[in-house]
Amino acid sequence: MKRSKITFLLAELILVVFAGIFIHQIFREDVPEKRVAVIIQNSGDKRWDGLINGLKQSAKVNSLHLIICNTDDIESAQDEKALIDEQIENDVDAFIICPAPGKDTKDMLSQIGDIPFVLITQDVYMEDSSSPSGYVTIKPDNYQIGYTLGQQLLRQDAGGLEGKSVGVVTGFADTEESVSQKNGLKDALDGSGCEIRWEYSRDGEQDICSMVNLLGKVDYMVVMDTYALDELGANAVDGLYNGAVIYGMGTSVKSVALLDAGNIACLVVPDGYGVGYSSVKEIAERLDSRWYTMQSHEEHIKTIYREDLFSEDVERFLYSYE
Amino acid sequence: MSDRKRNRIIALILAVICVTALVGCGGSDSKIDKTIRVGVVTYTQDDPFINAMTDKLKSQLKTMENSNMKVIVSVRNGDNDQREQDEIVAEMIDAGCDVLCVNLVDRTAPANIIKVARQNDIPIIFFNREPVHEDLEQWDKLYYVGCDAKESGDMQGEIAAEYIKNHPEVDRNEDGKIQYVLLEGEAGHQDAISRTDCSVKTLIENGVQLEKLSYQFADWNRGQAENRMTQLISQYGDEVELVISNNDEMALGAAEAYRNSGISEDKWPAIFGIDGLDDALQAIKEGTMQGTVYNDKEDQAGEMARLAVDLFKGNSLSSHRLQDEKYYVSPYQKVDVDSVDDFLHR
Repeated sequence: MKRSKITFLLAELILVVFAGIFIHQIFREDVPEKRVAVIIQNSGDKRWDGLINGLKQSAKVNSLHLIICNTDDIESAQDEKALIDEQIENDVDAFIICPAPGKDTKDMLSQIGDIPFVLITQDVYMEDSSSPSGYVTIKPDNYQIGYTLGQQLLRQDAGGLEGKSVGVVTGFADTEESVSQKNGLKDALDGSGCEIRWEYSRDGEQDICSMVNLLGKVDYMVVMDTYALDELGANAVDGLYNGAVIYGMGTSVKSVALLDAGNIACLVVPDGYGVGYSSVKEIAERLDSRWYTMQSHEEHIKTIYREDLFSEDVERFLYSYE
Repeated sequence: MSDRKRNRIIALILAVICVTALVGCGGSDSKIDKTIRVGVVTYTQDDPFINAMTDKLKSQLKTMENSNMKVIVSVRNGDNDQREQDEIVAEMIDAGCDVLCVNLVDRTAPANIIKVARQNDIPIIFFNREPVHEDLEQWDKLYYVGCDAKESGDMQGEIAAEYIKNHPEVDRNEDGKIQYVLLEGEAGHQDAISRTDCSVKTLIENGVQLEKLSYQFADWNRGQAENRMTQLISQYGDEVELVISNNDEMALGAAEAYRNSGISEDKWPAIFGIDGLDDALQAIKEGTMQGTVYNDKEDQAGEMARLAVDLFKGNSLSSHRLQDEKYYVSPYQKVDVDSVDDFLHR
């Protein structure tokens, strides 16, 4: 009698546990996906293909609803704030943001409040470039991109760079990305005997070719902006643009095609897919647990020459652009 | 209460009402202070004509910005895949969009795009690739801005016929017939069919005797046209006397194939395109192409920008000269060596 009572209670207990599990599962499935807004300038631009693939893939894995905001040029903190405010009204749970140029962006981001956010591709611009903003940032090592391009220039010119002239093109001037890349390049070329004849920071979608033509002829051009690289590369003839060999940083399939065509001599490609994937992962962990502390980190970069294009390693890397 | 006191109270109440009304008006003014978000979705990023048109649309919209209205134009492309384009449109609507401008991948398959836009009450301006009439009739907030493909074919035939009449040397073998090849956009594409049919028909109507050597589909693409033309050159050598191309990109591809073929320039065929791309206008000036038909992207971009803003503001569309309250048809213009300077760097 006693034994059958225990068996009955055990059976009841097991049923209660099962019922609990099923109810939990049912409610879990009913929970709407958390919404994450992504703010990057010119969101339809092909240079973001790898990044957006990484974002989408990670959002799928982490069951998040991604909103890739419709944007064109984001030239100031004010432009970015308008987009952020709109998405706050849209009740998003978190942000992934490529910070706008300018020193006002740091303060503007501090007004987001309790909504978690991750910065991608670069940190916010600080007048003192040596100190990071303290915001969680997932990006390539922008200093290393410039440094690597400088090293490749030194490595490729057998005669040394003594007496040679270099022109430098970057994206928006007041960004961590441009400042760090330029610092890296200058450090790498320091003592090589070459002259950086001109520096140009692209500001919006102006005709980069005519701007560069006005700056005069150089032996090498180091172009650390995908849009500018694709334009200059497309207009290069026999591997030279206005007499200059092009070394550059690019994140579009077009940049790779231009390398393949011989219009660009050397390409440094940051892992955009990795930046996208990791940023969503960090946000997902934070949205799952209020106590999780998000971590900044840097994704790797790859140096590619035309002859490396069909190596297994590079092909796997470029697959993220598909 | 004395009359004077009562009058004062009434005046005070009236003043409060006036101030409240004014503040209210101020509120509605601040509502005008808005951002219009225009989503532009093209069928591919690799079509120079569409890219040039999109750039014009963007700059036209930006010129319409003022202190009361900010314009954000977001441009994406469908990567030549209708399903992907459907997804992109859904994403854009999800992210917040006021007006959509869509250049369809497949002109016969806008159903999903129309459905999602209608659910969210977002007007669509289709451009360059015309949806079938029945689809456009599904909802009153669907519009089309573009050209009449038949007209471009007719005009191409007319300028080609005129050129051949004025340059009898085109008939190099002097057999009284013009041996020609066709470079067509896509198999089954309405514009490709219309342009081809009308162009050839007009040439014949103008008394040009034709002999078709071959036709090739090159997907509106310069590189593909160059490959196809290179094959034709290896097959026919310098027998080809006329190249009729459905667009300038493919015409330029044909010219490139001849440039690489080693055939001397005096034995190149007359080449005619459609669109009026800068490269094609330059080629006409240099004599590697003989004519094109100008597809007025400035006019179409301007109309799309004005239409987008009027739809956003809820203004009347009576000033838009829309046919059937839906269609804006931009006229084509003929371009040959005599008129090319009027079109260069527009």
